[in-house]
Amino acid sequence: MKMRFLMTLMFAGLCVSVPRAQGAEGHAGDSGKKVASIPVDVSAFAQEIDRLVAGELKRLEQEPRPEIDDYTFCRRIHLDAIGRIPTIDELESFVSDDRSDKRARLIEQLLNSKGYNSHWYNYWADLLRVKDVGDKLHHSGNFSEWIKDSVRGNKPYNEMAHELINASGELYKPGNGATGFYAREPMPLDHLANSVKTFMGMSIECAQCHDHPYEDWTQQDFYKLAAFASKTHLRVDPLPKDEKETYAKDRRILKHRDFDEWIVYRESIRVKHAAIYGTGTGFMRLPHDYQYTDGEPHQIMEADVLFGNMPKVNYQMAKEKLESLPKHHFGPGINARRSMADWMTSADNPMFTKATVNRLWYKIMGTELVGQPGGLTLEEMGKHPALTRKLISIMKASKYDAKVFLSALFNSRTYQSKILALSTTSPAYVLDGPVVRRLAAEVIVDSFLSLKTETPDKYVATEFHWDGFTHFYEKSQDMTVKDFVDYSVKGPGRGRFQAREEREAQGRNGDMGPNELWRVSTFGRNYRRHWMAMLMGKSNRELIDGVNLEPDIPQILFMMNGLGIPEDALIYRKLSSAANHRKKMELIWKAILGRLPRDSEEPLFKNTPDDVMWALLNSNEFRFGR
Amino acid sequence: MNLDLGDKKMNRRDFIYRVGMAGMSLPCLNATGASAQTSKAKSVIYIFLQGGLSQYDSFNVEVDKPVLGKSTIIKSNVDGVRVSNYYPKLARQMDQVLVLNAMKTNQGAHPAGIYKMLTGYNPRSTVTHPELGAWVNKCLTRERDSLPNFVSIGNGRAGSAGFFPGQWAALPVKDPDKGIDFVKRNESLGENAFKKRLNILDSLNKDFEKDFGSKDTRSYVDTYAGSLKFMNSNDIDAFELKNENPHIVNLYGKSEFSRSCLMAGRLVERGVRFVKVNLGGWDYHDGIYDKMPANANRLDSGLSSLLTHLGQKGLLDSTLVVVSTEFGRKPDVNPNRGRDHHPDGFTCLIAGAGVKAGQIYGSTTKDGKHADEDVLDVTDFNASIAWRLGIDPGYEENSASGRPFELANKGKAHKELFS
Repeated sequence: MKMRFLMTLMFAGLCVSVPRAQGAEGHAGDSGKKVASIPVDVSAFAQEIDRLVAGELKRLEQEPRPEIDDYTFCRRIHLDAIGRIPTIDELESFVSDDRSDKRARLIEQLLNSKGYNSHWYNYWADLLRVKDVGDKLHHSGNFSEWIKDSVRGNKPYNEMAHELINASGELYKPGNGATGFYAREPMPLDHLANSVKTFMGMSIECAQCHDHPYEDWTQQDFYKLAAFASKTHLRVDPLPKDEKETYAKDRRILKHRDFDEWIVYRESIRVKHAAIYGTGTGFMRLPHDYQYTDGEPHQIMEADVLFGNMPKVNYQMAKEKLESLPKHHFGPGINARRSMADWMTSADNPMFTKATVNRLWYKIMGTELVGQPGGLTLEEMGKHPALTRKLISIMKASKYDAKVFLSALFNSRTYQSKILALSTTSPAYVLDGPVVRRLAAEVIVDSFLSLKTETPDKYVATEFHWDGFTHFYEKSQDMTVKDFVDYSVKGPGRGRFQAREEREAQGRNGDMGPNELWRVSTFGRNYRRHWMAMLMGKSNRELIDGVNLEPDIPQILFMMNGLGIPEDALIYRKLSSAANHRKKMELIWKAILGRLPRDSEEPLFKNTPDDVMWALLNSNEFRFGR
Repeated sequence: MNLDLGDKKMNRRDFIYRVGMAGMSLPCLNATGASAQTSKAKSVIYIFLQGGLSQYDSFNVEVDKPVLGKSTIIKSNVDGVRVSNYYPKLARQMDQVLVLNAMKTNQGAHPAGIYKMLTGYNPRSTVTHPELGAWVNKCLTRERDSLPNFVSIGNGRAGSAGFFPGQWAALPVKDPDKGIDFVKRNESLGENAFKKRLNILDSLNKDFEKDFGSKDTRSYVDTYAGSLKFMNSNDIDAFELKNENPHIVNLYGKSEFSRSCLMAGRLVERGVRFVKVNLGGWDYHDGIYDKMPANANRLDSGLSSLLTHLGQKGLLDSTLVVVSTEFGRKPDVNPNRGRDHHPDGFTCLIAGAGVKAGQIYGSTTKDGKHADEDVLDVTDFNASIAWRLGIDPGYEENSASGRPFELANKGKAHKELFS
């Protein structure tokens, strides 16, 4: 395959034939496709936001920012709603549309497109840190499928959070993928700290080991909160009794016969049995090295919340009774974890909704509404508390429907205002619109797809299933011990066991297209890491908010010397039919930067299309949202 | 090349140095001052054997005979130091090596063990810790340095900066014969054509900067300038093995690991502080005596060549060569003729930089089950390396959320490892 020499061969993995246009796939133009309708009060929400922002600007005697033109809007809404730049066709079709409500129409269309699913799958998978974890979470596919289901069905966010916090049972049972959230980090105290950070935006991990140095949380507070989920645990192997009576004998035999057979036996049994046990006892014990005077090591703590209303906990054992038992006892499971989920995700919880709108504002506007997404405090409401309160009330009124909330934001004049760069010389930022920020790694990489094909959203994560383990789980329900042994002896062998399930899962997906036309979201379990997205700073999902938006040498060397566009890419096809050089230049500007060239940029027209494309793709204007 | 991509005054050194470190009081240096004694090592070459080196088939043969499995003992060039038959070349250079036979870690699974060995910390899901190389990079990088001070060669974990800014992560070199990815201009693109592109880029970025300039946009402009200077500098030469003197090249074999060691030597010669070289594949749960010899041969050849190379260049006195692994392997050979993981008593090597060479430090019980005398915890091991570089092992940095972490996680330097 011949490649234009915008690029080097290093990119050759992404160089195969691009399907010719097969009609307007996805959402290009006004395809007349039926889209689910957003409730009518969205525009009222948007106006309420704008009213508050206008009032604040007036109070501070700042001029409102100018409204953006159609080009800027089209690029911005594509980046924020579906995570890539518009294709040249999408851009031109929007700009030439002369209906007065075309912006609202585009917003609705994008929020109901496959591109939305792809973009917001990435968001959730990063926040929930979906990845395989050694022998704890051998396969994150079911977890990932659960997120995809939630995104496809637009599950209310509070329901998502509740299911994650309260998940129990088998890891690989179809539909039970929310258990992956616990399996992701089965150390109970770390898991609690991360749950609090994920859903309430607070950083309380210090209090695991000592009183928080600058917040009010004490180590005892932490342990009281941990009491709700006490004795929740991940177990990958069968329960001891089952293990002893059913599996142990053959395990011994295989271990002494062949290592690979033994491993496959173990792994295949685990697919059936790995599960989250325990519903929370409501009792916790202070650590053995408890250092403060308000309690003794191992002293029993009853569950209590950090703030707000204490949910009901149905204790079945008196604390005094538990105190008479040896110190490894924590009481019976009584669904106390469900009570914690109720509290944490309640509309009355002062942090849950605040943290949620803060995260979404950060994602859309590029900066903090209240504070750092993982470092909020109970009292703070941000520099415009009335706006924060309004957004919280919109989120509640929308019943935690992310699409309604996003639609309210996108339809606001506030969102559709000229971008501001946060710098020392700019006026004080008063949350009156978006700020310049680097695009997420996936957004940059997916934007290359908009240059390659008319249908960049054809192969998105939510169109496919990575259900290899889930499938095997179902098979395993009817497997006898002999079946497991036979499977191990005659089976595909260590390592290849997983690979085979994956291959079959892929086969069930049917035609998945060439992976150089996949959105980054689709590079899930099977393809592990998308190296180019990693180079651009994609989260490795070790930590919450793990993205890296800073440049480094390898990233820049790749952009300068490694990036390329295949010769049969959409943009080259468009160029070949452009009437003249000037039209070519306009086309390049529109395709890459989403705008027409300025008069002052005309001197650059003297260069070749490849030279200009290289420069535009390397420019800050391309990689920064504006 | 006269490029104008931002601040004209910024040169390559500023770029490597970049962050506002000017005027920093160098708090990470040993509290006692960087005396000649404590900063004996200028650089570290850190060979990491991912998978878990079998100590009883390599450098700890001072145990009961059954523990050695199929391995046999050979003499080295030092009385009292013996190695397994898989290391005949190193056997002739053991006078340069200090064998640490009572290493101990608290991790028995690969990902956690690797993380612990390289960072000194247990893995947690609320924070990621910098690797030792990143600490060294951050502590020892000076304004005059033109090359990155943390380079990782070969496949494997590249060298994470943990909670430090990304600039302190390792510069990865996946294949020593290819050098740094994308560092070369497209061959079909002439220098002038490339320059033309850069001029267009410069003009676009200047316009953008006028309207939308911020710390983040400037950081990109600066990194482009730095990357270009890096591309066009003589420093790239350090990563070009074909430019090495044939006399040195011929010391080494052709294997990728040997070539990686050669590059590590070149980098250290140019002052790079911490070079990690990855050699994986040591996880032999079955058929160890079929599978291991090839890998042992790679290590034997590469490391022995490296010691010769550094010796010939006069760099061995100032370079600490480290061979480490996440844990060892069990004293008993399992029914599948492999060895399983064993964190309590495994073996690492150090050489150069004034180590008490030609000796063995620490021992396991004769049955090979436990670290026995002169036990060296992973955190102490890291502390000792840092101390030898003149860095205070207790040097503290805060994570993004303000949690303080010490370089060596409370590990103590074992100064008795050095003479």
